[in-house]
Amino acid sequence: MHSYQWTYADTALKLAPAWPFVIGYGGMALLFLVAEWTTEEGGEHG
Amino acid sequence: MRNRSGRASGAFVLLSCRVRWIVRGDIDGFFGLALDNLVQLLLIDTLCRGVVGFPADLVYGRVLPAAAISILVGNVAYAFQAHALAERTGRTDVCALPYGINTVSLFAHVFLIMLPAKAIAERVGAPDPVRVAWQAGLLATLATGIIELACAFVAERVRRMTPRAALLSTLAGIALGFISLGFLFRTFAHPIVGLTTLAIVMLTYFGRVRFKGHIPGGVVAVALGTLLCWTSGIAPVGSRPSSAALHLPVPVFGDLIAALGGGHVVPYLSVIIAMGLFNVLGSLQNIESAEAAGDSYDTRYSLTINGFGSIAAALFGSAFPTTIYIGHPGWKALGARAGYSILNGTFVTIICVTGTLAWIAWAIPIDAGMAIVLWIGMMIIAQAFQATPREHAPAVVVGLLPGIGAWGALMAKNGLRAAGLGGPGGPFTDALIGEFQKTDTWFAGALAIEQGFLFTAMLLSAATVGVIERRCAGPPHGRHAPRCCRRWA
Repeated sequence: MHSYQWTYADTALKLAPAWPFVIGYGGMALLFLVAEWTTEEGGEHG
Repeated sequence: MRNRSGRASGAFVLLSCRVRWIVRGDIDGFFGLALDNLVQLLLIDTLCRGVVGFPADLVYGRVLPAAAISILVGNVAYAFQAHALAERTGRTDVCALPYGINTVSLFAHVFLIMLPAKAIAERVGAPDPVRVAWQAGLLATLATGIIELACAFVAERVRRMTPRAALLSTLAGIALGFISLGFLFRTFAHPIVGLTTLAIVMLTYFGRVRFKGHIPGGVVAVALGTLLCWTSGIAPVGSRPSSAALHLPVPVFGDLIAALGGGHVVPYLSVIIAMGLFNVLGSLQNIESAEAAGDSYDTRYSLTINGFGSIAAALFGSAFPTTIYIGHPGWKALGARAGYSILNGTFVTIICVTGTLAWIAWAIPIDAGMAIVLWIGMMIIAQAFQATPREHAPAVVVGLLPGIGAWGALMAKNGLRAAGLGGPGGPFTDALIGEFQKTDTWFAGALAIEQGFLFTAMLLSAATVGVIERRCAGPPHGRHAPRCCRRWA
């Protein structure tokens, strides 16, 4: 997912790890996982 | 504190109604609004110097300090307006109208007024064509401000006559294309920064939680985003700026008088009137958006502030009008009240007057805070559906489409420019339409829908509401009519 390669007049999926996305999604998942300990009820938003 | 009759004393009521000027949510709101304004200021710097050929002295010494004055005037006035509403109603959730430089006018003034004015001045052998271009921009900004002021007296009537779905869906179309999709592309171009900061924004704004230690989510997002930008090579942006210097704004009456005598109004009247009306319409939609979010502001007063902001810009040397920004419901949901507006005005003034804008742009890339702006875009789109009757959802969808179409046209044109067209490589011509058509892309339609898309969206959406309410075939009838029509009947 997300990796692409140039073809003559288009782009196509490339079967290679997209490392920046691995890190990005990893960071996202980590933040969601630790939210229970890093955050508290806000109530101000929404 | 009650008197003998059991009623609260006047002093107690006054004290209990006192509304704080700055709350925690204002910090989050400030980051979002300051980022929006920073983008406009950087565009002014880039386009004025890169496209029109302004010298750095003119941009940093005249244009940016004047832009700061125009932003400060409006931000402070809108903060006072919000604070007054909060005190009057006793509410603590009143959010000021967001405000800043108008992006569309910025491009129009550069490409449709200043650049042609400079070309004409060069052709007739004027001694300083760049100054002529600047003066033409100043006059256009002054005229836009006057149009905004004049329309302030009739705008409320227009707003009352237009269905809410038409006003909000037009904004949602802009938010979906120009804000959300634009920043989503940037998020996926820089996923390490984009996705991580998006997670923080989703957690704190959608999840309604805050980080321990009472640190605002916006601060965490921008701080982590900046750190990731520096570690992943996105920052610093460009070369290290030269030292900063103090540039206080000074009135430029002489240049305005010279511009009046230079005959710069008539040749650009079509652009000036179109941009003026465009600004008024956009402001109306944003005032409606604020009302849908619970903050009912006086239309005439709000537009008058905007008009004075643009006039102040012209009087001090900025060639760029101001506007009420899109996104009030987003900023309100962030927890921002009146303080974020004052914080933004102060911040913009400091960076423009001290010449530190270049340093901020060098150290903190837009990417660090883009998740906040992306979220604002999502809130605007959500509001178009949430604040209108369920029956009007098709009308909201109809109103969304021209904005998305205009964004598509912009993307196509940007693609052509990237391929070398629309510049030294060759002009845009009718032949392109045929080439696009070969791939079943109806470029002619995209170009047509792009012209005046704000008006198209509003009219089509309003017409759809009319059809839904069956107002086109006589008086409204059916079980939904009385509820949906009550405001604009």
